[in-house]
Amino acid sequence: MHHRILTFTLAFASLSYEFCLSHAFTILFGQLVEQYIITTGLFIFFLGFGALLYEFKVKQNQKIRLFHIEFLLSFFGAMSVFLPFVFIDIFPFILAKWLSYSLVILIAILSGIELPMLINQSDNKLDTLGSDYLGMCFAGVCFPLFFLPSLGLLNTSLIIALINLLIAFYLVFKEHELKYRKYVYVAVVPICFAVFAPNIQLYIEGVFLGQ
Amino acid sequence: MASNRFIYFITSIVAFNSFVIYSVICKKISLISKMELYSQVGALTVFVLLLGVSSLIVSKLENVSWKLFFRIEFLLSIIICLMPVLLGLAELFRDSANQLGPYGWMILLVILLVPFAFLTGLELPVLITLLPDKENILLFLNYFGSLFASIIAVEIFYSSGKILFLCAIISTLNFMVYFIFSKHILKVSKLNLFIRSFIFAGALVILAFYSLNLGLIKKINYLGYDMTKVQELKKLLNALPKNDEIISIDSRYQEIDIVPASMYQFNAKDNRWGLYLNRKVQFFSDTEIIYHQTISFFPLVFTGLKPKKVLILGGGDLGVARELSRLPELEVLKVVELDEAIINLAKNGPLVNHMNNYNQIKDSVEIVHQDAVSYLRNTSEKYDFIIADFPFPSSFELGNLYTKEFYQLVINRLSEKGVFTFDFPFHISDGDKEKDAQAILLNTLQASGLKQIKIYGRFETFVMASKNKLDRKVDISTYKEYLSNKVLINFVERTQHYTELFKRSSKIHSIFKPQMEFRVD
Repeated sequence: MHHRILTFTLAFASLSYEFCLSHAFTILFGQLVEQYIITTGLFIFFLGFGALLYEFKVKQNQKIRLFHIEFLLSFFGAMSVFLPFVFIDIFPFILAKWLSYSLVILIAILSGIELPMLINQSDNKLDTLGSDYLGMCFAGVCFPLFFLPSLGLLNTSLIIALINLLIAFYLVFKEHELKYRKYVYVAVVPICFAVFAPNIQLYIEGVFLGQ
Repeated sequence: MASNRFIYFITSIVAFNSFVIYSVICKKISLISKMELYSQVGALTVFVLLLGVSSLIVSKLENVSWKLFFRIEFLLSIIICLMPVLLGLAELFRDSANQLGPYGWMILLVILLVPFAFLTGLELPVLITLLPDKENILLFLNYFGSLFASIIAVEIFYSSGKILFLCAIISTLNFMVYFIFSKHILKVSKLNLFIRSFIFAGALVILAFYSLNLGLIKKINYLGYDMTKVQELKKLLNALPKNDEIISIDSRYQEIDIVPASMYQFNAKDNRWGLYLNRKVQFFSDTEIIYHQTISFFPLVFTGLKPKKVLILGGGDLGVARELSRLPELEVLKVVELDEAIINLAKNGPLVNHMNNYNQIKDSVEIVHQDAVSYLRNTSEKYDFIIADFPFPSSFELGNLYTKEFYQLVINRLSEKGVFTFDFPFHISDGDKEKDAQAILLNTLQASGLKQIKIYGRFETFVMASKNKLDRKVDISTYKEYLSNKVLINFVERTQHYTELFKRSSKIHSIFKPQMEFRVD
């Protein structure tokens, strides 16, 4: 896969998760503008934190590779819409709210690690940066105009998670990772979520309705 | 050169300033476009894209100096200072942008954001280039400033809604950064500093002039002149009512305006007025009785219901509460209103507290400050009669109050013989586009599980539905003494006019899968 397309797709996926989370928070906590501003603030801050983490911890550690990050993003991304509803269902409101925001932090940190990794693997750093910004731009156009009205919130998060999963497997095979079988287990969560999407939708609707 | 600590401080300040202004633009554009989702997503996309473009440009520059950084700060001070004026101009051209739908607003958003986001995007790469060995700390502080701003913007600024004041403070802060550095560190000539200070003072004067004429812009908006035509502008200046003033309240959630009749009706010279929320009319003082009495009494007349427990969702003006407070069997009359400002207006006036007879009804009404969805989700009480008196779904967020899930929440809170009613946000004469939206609403009501969906009202149309099938017991005698004669002619069932619409579309408006066609302009 061309490096430019890879960067574009990964940036598209990261920002799409943030939009999904912002929208889920709007449903649960109200106030669309406030939720988008808080999510954006947290996202930008922890993108930077992720970049720092890469610089100080990940860069030296040769064991952590891009496909690890993609598996994790796929794992948490698949649950990004579902988990805030679980938190609201189980925990007191304030705790549930902050736990939900922690999902933004988690995805932002993983996305923050992702970009310097991609830049390091590329010959042309500016090209990678440009593709990253274009991917984000594409997510911004697709989410309100296509994903949300056509697929709905839950399905959007699941499709993005499956895209992440496909990329993760592509990277595993590309890097000739022989122990790929162990990663199949990580893939169970996004695939199960996709298969049982109608049931999960019923559950989150039930939580919203207080049933 | 300045100490590193000072530069770190400056880094956080400029990031804070930029993000606060970014959120100001988002908030204001959302408010005037009524397209929160497009505005938020569009703004973030443009902002991120411009940050990237700026980074690329800085990486191509050969001579990056402190002079460049402080020039950026100076230009940003001017842009931030003039931002409310630019947003005000955008408001004047609202109708032209609305004609282009979401794309019109995207274009306007891009025009407003590009210079600001471009200059903001230059800040961090320039600082990193100037202090290359400190890039991680600079990055962290810059992102920290953004995070801090997002919290401050939401917690403090959103509740005050003082965009003008905020922009004046932020731009002055930015200019001070420029001024102190230029004078003491870059040793810029006094003449140069004087010219820059003069330009900034000029921008502040424009801002002050604009703030003094805010009322004028509102008047122009209410009079509905097409600002793209110069001849219209000439007509407008002659037609502006000189003595009548709009009473405006900027609440955390909406703009509340009490507008004299001369602003919405040509040559009106009486004491009538209209209540507008976010520039959308809620009612006019001379016809409000038709609205409030029809929504309150038609379902009772039609079903013979004698409610003991009544819940009003929205309706902070207390017009519906005024009507229902007269019911003899009433035990509970609860109003759930999100916006404290509209409740204060209903209690303390001006004008609205007279309209709703607040002094007479205050003992029988219980007011809860909460959004309707949260209230319905958290209460366990059941009500015989639930009325949703919301603004029309002119925005994405208001559209959430017309979803399948919202109606299901209502069903859960209705007693077995309970009845639900709300203002139908359409007219029979609406065009094809609106008919799609009407069909979506009717399908959504059916999908939610509500029974006996009826549409009623000759001038003002409403929807009535129940949890279970009810016997029709038309009984006007019980409530006749409460009703004005001009209201009775509005008591007409119109369901038959809408039956075709059920077949028109199978789409359902859901909070999880909102239909973009479901929107009332």
